[in-house]
Amino acid sequence: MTKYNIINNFIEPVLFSSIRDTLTGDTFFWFYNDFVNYRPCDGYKFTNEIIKDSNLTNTIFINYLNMVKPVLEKITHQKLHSVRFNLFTKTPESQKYIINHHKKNSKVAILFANNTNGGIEIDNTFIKSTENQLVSFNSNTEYKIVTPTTNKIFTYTVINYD
Amino acid sequence: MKITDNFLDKETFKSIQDLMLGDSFDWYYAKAVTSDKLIRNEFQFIHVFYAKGESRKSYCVIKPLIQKINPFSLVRAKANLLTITPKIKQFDFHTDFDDKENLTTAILYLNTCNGYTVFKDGTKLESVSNRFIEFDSTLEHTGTTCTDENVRGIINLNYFK
Repeated sequence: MTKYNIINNFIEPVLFSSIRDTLTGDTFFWFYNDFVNYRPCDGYKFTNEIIKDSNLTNTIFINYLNMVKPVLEKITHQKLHSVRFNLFTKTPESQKYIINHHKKNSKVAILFANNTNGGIEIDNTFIKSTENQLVSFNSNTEYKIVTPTTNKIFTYTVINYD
Repeated sequence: MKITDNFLDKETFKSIQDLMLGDSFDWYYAKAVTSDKLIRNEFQFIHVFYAKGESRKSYCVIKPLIQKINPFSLVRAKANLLTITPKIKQFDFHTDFDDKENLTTAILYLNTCNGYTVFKDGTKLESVSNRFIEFDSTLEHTGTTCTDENVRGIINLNYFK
């Protein structure tokens, strides 16, 4: 039995295009992190955590929360721990970064925002970033982010919930 | 062309550097670097402080810099953040504004790295933290990525003296 579940075309295409166009567009707030998971780290990422510890981090992000509402409505949850958007830039060779900072014994869902040759590696399987594809798994399952080598950016939404 | 090292006092520069290269400063993805032309592998992150007569809340971050320059009139103030590449990538030569006479362009380097600013006559100015360069806006110039730091950050200003 696999440790993850994949759903293609997770939300209505029109609703999804709003997420894709926002995350790959030029108006989205990105915060630079000089690390990926923990410091110190050779890598870096751009990120925006709009829900942290179940609270909206800044009222100006309410529009981003509304944007992902169709996703949240389709994920059965009792509590939202975190809603975060991540962006990785192109690297000459694939870089892999272990991600293990989610709340223990909870659930994680990743919705890919654009088609790239980056993605995630989970349970020894590489899942390529595919628009509107949702990958969900238990937060105790370790996974790695794999950077893209052909596209300028790889971006996705990651939701941590119970 | 005028080059000034240690342009801002250490403390002021460090506070700008720490904020802008830290994890609470907002950046916006730009698919292109020197023009609207989309070029493979070329992108950057930008932040506009002041443009078209309007300043953003973040303008206060660069206020000490503007006060030190004391321009007659500020036209645009923005920051660029370029991410590491395997080889230094030099972008196309350009001027920031084609239609303005007597305009001055200036750059404050946010971090030291092996990226640089280069002019059409071959003059190359290395990215050194707190280095300030000022030149006539008609001079064609361009910037590069870097290979020794994750990012290369600059503040780019255009003003009338």
